Amino acid sequence: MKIALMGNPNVGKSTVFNVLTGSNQQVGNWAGKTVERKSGIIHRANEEIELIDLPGTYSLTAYSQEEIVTREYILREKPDVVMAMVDASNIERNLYLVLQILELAPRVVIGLNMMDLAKTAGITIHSNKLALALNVPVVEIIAAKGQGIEEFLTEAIRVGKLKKDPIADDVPYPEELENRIQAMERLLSDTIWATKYPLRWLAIKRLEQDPEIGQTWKSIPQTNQRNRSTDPCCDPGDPVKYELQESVSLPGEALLQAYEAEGWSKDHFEMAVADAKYQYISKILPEFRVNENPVKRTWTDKLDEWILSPFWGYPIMVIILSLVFWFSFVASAPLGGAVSEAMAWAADVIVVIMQWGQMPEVIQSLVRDGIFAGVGAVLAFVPQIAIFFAFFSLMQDSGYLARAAFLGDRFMQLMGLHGKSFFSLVSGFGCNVPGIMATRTLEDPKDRLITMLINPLIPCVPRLGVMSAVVAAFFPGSRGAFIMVSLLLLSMLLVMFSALFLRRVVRQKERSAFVMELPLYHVPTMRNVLLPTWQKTYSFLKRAWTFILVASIVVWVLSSYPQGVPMNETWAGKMGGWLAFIGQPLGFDWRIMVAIVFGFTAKETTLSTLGILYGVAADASQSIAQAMTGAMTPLGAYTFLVVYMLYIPCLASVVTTYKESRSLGWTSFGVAYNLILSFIIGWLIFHGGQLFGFQ
Amino acid sequence: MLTGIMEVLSRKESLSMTQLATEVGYSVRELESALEQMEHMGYVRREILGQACSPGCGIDQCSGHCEGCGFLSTEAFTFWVLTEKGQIILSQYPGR
Repeated sequence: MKIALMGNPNVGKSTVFNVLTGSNQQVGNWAGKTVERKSGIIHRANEEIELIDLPGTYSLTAYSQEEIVTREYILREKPDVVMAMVDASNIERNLYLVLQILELAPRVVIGLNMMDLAKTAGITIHSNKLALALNVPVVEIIAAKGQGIEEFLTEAIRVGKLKKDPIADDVPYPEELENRIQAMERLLSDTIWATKYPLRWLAIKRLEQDPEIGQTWKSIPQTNQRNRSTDPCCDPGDPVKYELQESVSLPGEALLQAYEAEGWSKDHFEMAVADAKYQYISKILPEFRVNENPVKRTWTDKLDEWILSPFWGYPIMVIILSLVFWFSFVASAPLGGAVSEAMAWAADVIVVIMQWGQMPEVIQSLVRDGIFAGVGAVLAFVPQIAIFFAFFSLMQDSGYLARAAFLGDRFMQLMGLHGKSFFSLVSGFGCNVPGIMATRTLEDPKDRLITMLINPLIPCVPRLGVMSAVVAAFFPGSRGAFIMVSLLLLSMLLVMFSALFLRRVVRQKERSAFVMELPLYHVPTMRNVLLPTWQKTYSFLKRAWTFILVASIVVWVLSSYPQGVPMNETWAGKMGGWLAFIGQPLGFDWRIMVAIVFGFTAKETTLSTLGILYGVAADASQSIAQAMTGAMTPLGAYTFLVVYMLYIPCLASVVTTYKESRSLGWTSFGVAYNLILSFIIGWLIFHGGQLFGFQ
Repeated sequence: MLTGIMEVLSRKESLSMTQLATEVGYSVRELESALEQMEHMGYVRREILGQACSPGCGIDQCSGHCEGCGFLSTEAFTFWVLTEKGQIILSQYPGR
C-alpha cells in the first residue's frame, strides 16, 4: 500500500512522518527538482506500507516546484490513500489545500493537528462535524506529543482498503462557472486523458490552461540509491527518474476560444475557482468551528476608530505633532542655551591656553571665530534634535508612526499620487537623500519623478534643527510649537500644490490603493526609544565634527580675508553684496544670503555660517539666535524660516535626484522650482505680513 | 471573496487590514489567508517598505553611500497591492 502525507508547510507533517517511519527513511531529491523527497517503509498487520512525505504546499496549482512535485506524484503514482494534515489553529488556510486534494484523490483522511494550540486560542474544532461537512474521515492528533498519530495511520489504512472510492462533496461553483466546467467535462470524457486524470479536475485544469496537463512522462526506477539511515554519508540519489516523453495540447481549444470571447480567460477561470473554494470554506466553517473567545474589540481596535478616523485622525495627528514639537524645540530650549554657554566657555578657555602658548592671532581667530562659532552653533541644538529623535522613536515603538503614515496616504490621494509615495516623503523627514532613493519602489516612472521632485519640500532633520534654533530665539514659549507646526503644515500644503502642479507637467497613471498591516499599540520600551535616539544623535554629531567643521573653516576664511577690513568688505561680504538684491525684497541682509548659499552644501551649514558671520563667539554672552534677534524682526525671521525650509535642496539631494532621474533637465528643473517657489512664498509672507501690520 | 478583496484594492482609498475585513465581511484571519493565496497566484503583492535607505545604501553601509541614513527610522511598513495581473483580470472580469 502507498500512502502520501500532504499538508501546508509547518503543519507537523515531518513529525508524523518521523514517528511513523522511525529510522527507516530514504531521503533524496525529486527528479530534476531541488525539492527534497522523503519516503519510508512501515509494517502494520503483515502489510508493507510505503509512506511518502510530500513537500509542504498551500495549494496544488503549478506555481512552484513543490506544488508540481506534489501534484504529479498524486496523479502519476496514484497513492492508495492521502493523509492530509491540517493545522486546527489556522484551519481557514489549510482547508483550501484539502479541497484541492479532494478533487485529485478520492481516498483522503484528515489529521487535525495542533488541537492543543487551537484550544489555547479559544478555538474548538468539532472533528465529527468537519468530517460530516466534507464527507471525509477526520482524526484528531497532537503530533508534537505523539498523540493520535497511530490512529491517523490506522484510519488511513482502513480507507485505503475500502472496496469502493468514497465520494466527497464537490465544491459548489457558481452556475456560470459550473456550466462551463460541465461542458468541458463532456468534451473530455471520451478522450484518453479522462482515464489518466479525475475528470472534473481535468476539466478545471483545462479551462485554466494548466501548462503541465498534457505532458507525458516516463518513469525510470533507479537501482543505485542508498538508504540514508544506514549510509548517512551522502545523497542517496533519486529512487525514480522521470523523462518527458511528449507534450501535447488537449482537446477543447475551440471551446476555450469561445469562452475567451465571452470574457472568460484562463486567469478568470483560475480566480473564479479559487474564489468559490474560499466562499465554500467561509460557508462551512461555522458548522464545525466554535470560537469560544469571539474576537473582542482590543485596545488597538478602539483606539484606531479614533486615530484612523477620516474626521478625528487629522486633528489628533496635529495635536500629537504639536506636542512633539513643543517638547522638542520649545521646552528643551534651555538645554540648547546651556550647550551654547558651555561652548562659549570652552572657546574662552582654549583661547586663553593659546594666548599662553603664544599661538599666532590668526590661529586663535580660526579656533574661536571659525570652529567654535560654526560648529558650536550647530552643537547648540543637539539637545533639541536628540529630544525630537526620542519622540520619533516613541511614536514608532508605540505603533503610532505607522498610523500617521497611513493617514498620510489620503494626502497622496488628493495629489493623485500612489500611496507608496508617502513612504518616500516620510523618509524625507529623516533625510531627503534616502527619501529620494525610496522612490525606486514606485513602478510608474512619472510617479517616481513627481515624488522625487517634491521630496525636498519636506524639511529634513538638519533643517528642522536650524529652524528650531531660529524659532526658539524669535518665538519663545508655546508660540514656538505653533510656529513649527504652521511651517510643517505649509510644507505639506506646498507638497500637495506642487504634486498637483507637476501632475499637469508630467502626466501619470491612475493611482491604486493598498491594504496596510498596522502593528498593535504597545507601551514603548526604554531600549527601543533610547537606542535609536542615540544612533541618530550620533550620526548628527558625526556630521558636525566632519563636514560642518570643514565648512566652518571655509566660511571663516571667506569672512576673514582680506584682513583688516570690515566684514562686509571681506570675500564673504562681497559675495553677500552681490546677492543683496535678491534678499532685500524679503528683508534679508547680506549675512542671511551668504548663510543660505552655504546651506546648499549641507543644511546645518546655514547655522554655522550665521554663527561665524554674526560673530557669536566674539560675544560669549549671546547665542546665535540671540545675535540674530538684533538683526531681524519676527516677521523677517518667519520669512527666513519659510525660505530656508523650501529653497534648493542640499548638494547631496541634488546629486541623488540626478542619479535617480538620470536627467539633468529634470534635476535643474527641481532646483529652479524650489528656489523660485521659496522666494515667491517668502515674498508673499513678508509683504502680506507687513500689510496686516506684523513686524 | 477573492474578487471582492481585489475590487476593494482597485479603488483609490487605502485601508488597514481591519477596515478591509469589515468591508468584505470576513475575519482578519480569513482575509490574511485569502491574501496569501492571491499572492501565491500572482494577483496581489506583499510589499515591505522600510524607511531604510534603498538597495546599495543599507543601514550598515551608511557612511559610504547614503548621506542621511543614520537619521532614518527602522520602521518597516507592510502592505498589499494589486499586481498588474490582478488589475488586468479585474478589469476584464465578467460583470464588471
